[in-house]
Amino acid sequence: MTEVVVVLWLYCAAVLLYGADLRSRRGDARLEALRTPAHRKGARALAAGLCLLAGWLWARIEPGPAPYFMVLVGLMALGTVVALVGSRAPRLLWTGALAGGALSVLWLLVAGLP
Amino acid sequence: MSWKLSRHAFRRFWDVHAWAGVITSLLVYVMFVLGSLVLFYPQLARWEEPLRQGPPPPMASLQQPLAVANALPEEFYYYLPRHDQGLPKLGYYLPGTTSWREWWLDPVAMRELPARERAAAFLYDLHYLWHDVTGFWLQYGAGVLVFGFLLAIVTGVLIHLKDLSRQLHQFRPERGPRVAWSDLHKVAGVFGLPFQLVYALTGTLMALAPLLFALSVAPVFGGDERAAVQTAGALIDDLPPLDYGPPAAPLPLDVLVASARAAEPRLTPESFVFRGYGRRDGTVDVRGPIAGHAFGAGLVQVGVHSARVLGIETPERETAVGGVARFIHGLHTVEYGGLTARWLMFVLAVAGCATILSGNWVWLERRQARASGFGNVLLARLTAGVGAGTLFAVAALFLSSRILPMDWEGRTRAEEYVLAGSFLGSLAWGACSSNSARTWWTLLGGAGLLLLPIPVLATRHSQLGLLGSGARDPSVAAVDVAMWIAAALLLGLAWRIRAQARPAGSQLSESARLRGTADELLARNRP
Repeated sequence: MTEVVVVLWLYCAAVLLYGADLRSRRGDARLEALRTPAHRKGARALAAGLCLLAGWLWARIEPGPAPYFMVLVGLMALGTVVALVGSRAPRLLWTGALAGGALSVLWLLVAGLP
Repeated sequence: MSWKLSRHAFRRFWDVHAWAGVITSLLVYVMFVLGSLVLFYPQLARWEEPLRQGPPPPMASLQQPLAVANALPEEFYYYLPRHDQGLPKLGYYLPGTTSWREWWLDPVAMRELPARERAAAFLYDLHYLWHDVTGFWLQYGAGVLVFGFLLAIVTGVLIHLKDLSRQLHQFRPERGPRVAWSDLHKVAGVFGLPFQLVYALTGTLMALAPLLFALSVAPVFGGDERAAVQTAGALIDDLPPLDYGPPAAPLPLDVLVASARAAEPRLTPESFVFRGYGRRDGTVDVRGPIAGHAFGAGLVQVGVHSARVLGIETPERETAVGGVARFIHGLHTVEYGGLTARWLMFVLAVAGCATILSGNWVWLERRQARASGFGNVLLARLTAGVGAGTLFAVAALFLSSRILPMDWEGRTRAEEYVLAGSFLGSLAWGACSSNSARTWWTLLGGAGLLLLPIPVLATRHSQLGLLGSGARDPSVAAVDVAMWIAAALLLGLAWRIRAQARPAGSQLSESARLRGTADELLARNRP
């Protein structure tokens, strides 16, 4: 389950980076919460924090360079998916991010750290 | 600082990117598709061969299964059961050839069984264009071709540099095919850039390693092959013929492994490579993971006659070449991250395929506005034939692997003919079809239909799958599920392409559409 939590955090990071990009919008619709530059900066910072946490969590189950590779590979793969899906199904994207983030935190609270 | 290139530089890099991409695209696409499947080679190999599905047999010693073998050549590979599954295995090249043979060794029943199912291994070898019929030349050609792909990647980055961040998340499928393919090409290409770069580089080096080694012996080592071999370490598997001295009885494998583990206690032996077996100076490479090192494996070389440790390659002791080889191999074969990493890599591989195909479609759409000749018509048809045909051929291979009798001697060759025939047939279908969309939906739909019955047919060979009567094996059942998911996705995609294709009444020939002249449009639609 640690692997799933890491993937969910990287997915949330990819969605936040997508939302903070000025050009990621469907028509003229954009997520209200990320309209202002300050909020977009905050989203990018939160995404960076999630990436660091994901790497830290993975390091608890696999040593060596693996955590770095997993964060990079995860951002590449999930970033691609988010960029392609985001313009077609933004609600699905953001709902998934909120649900995934919440579930991952809940899981860690229940099961504890590996 | 401006990332904008001069007009002249932009035009030159654009031309190089376009031509390098078009020339290398279809072959690299096939390698990416097969590579994406090979990510799950252990699961596919276990699914296809029932002999891998049971628990390993009790073995009195590591040497015991070798006693079952009819004859042991001087050079052979011996594999212990991995992940608590299956039988020990023996593998070797027929002397003087590139023909690989494998045998299962059953120490309980005291029998040697020829490997009878190699569909997954066939895809693995084909991924880098290796086959025992064609030998290494095709593999070397693939390695050289991927340099062209690297050139396309680098020039693509250069021409797109100024727009990299601005268009990173830009995907506008509602703006028509030309914009959609261009956006898809850029999004998938930029996000997957590190992946495509690393795989192109590592793949090229792995494919060309035997050739580069052979070419380096004279200028770097003054012709001393033994010194070259010792320096190359695990980088080179296929060594040049060496003189291993007069005949001498080898020590039992358990003694040799004990010697290896005394030198490196962290090593868990998984496989052995014997060279000069039965000779005084013969050696065995004891290979396996090093505990505490998640990336890369270790190797201890021991003399088979003396049990003397001749060399150790572990992450902290390896030569510079060995370290580079370990990283190249480990990165390319995803020796980290478990199944999670492999699924993420699968997504990137699919995105890589989309990058390649969309590049061809961008090329074709740009030239649709100008005059279009035979070359563009051919590219359009080949892109469809190869693009969809690869998936159709792989589906046909998996179906044949479940249909053909497991104990039929000719099944492995028959499977290869099925794959080759399906692929060539798809190519011919695409070349003859005047409508690429029709080629896509017929072949994708065909692939989906071929995959549908596979989990049912799999019960003929094993009861441990999704629909079997025995206790489900997770890997075997997962492959059955994956077959059905893939079938559903392919059929859904085929249906969508067909629905979006032009209505039959105004369907134009591909050449007319690409020429785009008003007169031809009117002439072909005249009642």
